[in-house]
Amino acid sequence: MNQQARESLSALMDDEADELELRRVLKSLDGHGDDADAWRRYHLARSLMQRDRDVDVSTDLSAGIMAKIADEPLPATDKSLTRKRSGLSFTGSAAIAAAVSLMVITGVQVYHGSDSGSTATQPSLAGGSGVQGAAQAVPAAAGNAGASVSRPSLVDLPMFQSPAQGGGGNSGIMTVGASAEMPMFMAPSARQSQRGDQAQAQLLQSYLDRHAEGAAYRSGDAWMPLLRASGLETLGQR
Amino acid sequence: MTAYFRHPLRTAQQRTPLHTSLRRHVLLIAVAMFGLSGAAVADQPSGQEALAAAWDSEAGFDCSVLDGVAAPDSPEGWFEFSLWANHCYVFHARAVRISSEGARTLALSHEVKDGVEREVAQFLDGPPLVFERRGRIGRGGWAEEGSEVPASPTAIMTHLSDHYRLQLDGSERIAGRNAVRLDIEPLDSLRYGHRLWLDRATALPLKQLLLDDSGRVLETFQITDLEHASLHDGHVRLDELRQAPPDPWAPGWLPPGFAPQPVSTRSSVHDDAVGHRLFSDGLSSLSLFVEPLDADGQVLSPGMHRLGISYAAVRHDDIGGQPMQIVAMGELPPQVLLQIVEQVEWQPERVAADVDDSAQESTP
Repeated sequence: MNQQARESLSALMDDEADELELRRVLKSLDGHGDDADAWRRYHLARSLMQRDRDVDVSTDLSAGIMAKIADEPLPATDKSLTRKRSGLSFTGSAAIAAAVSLMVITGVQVYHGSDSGSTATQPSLAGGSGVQGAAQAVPAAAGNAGASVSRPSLVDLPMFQSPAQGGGGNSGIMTVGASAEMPMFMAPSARQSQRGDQAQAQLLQSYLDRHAEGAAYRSGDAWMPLLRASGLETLGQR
Repeated sequence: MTAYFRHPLRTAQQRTPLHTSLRRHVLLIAVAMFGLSGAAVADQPSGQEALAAAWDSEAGFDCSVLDGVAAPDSPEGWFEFSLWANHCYVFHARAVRISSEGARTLALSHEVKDGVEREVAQFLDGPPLVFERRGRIGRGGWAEEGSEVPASPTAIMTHLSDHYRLQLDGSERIAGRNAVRLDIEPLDSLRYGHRLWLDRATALPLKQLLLDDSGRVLETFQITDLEHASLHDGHVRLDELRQAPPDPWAPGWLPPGFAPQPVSTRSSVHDDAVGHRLFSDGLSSLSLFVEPLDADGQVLSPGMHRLGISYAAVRHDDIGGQPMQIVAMGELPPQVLLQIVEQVEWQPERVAADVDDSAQESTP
């Protein structure tokens, strides 16, 4: 995707594109599959930042929207039909852009119910403290799909290089506390696409389901672990 | 009374057959008295003793004991009372769960049928998800040769105060009922804290908070309307004794107090090679998953993952000459999971090179 198209996409998302720009983007999306992917990733990133989970990443709506815009009656301009741009009010184009993003985000809700990660399809983002972590990690993965971000792998971390020394008893605890400051949190999948993150989140959920079932076994609070599961596996031992 | 309750007789009894038979004797008397009249139990000065003694591998836990127990006067007493109440009370309730994903309302029900519990939770907001769990009262560990494995509540109470400080903190009104607030604070930074509000009448937890190491609330579960809570008339069965599966791997380090739980789970997504072991200190739980890394299967990326409030540390490494994926998952501080996942030991190797691993003592 060239820089211009990327800027147009970005402007469109921020409701700052005019109608001409919108048409150009839709046209370019038509011919280039990866541009369309970028568009979807941008929106996915934004909705994840806004913690919107009704995201459908699989559906390509651009064709339908293009048709919708084609059907849209041109705004009544006085005489100067040739000078389209001046005739279009800003609010008009913004409304179209808003409609576009609205449709992409809420989309068709195929995700819920049929899909495993539906209740907790938070991507498996490494995050220090909740929202901030997610907000930082998503654009990195979404925007620079091509650029590789090198992060420390687990074994490179200081604490992993000498497990035997710190092992056993309380001495090990001190080691952890000391080294857990910064390199603890890393995006395990910085190079992966959002789609890959979805797959990771779903896979992670399958482990969490088993963990939740196990945790509900011991007496005490059964409800809280139970509700962390996806609800798709039958829980409990008969 | 407090000290007595914190260390239920049961644990001391396991080692000496004389005491064991004494306990059985007490139980027989108790059962006989229930047969005569329930009120007689209430007059019994040793009412709380009955809690730890009222279960039996064959029959299960006699729920009617709860009716006779006087209100506990210690935080440990309240907590043990609530552990049993969770199993014994039949109720319907509305609740709300507040997590990082927002607040969602729930309809809950807990029933006991033929001594087996059935718990159903249904989300009332969003997609109609239903959680169902059937189970019996768990055991404190895997089957052991020559000793009886205690019921889970008894096992939890044995070591709980080694790792948590329990404190009663006055009364509050929750869901229109009188509740006792119970603060459970970890004694180290290796586990999360809890705050419970227990119903004065039934000891059922009306509200629960999970707090991280800096005291921030991670998850809230609160009953908003408790309907028809009644004591199950009869026994709730104990889980059968389960044999520990032979694993070629074992955790080299766990936070103090975490003991293996007799749980085996399956998933329709995972193949059978994904081994799962659960460890718990009574309040916090963590899971270890170990599986061979094969080319075709789905794998988690190495590193730290978070889903909701649960963390998962993932490590890929050659263990015993085979590439393996090790996942430590739980609602614990993430650095604890990192340390666990790094120190999983491959048993055959350990046998061969005992000296190398002498620094790593595994917790029992």
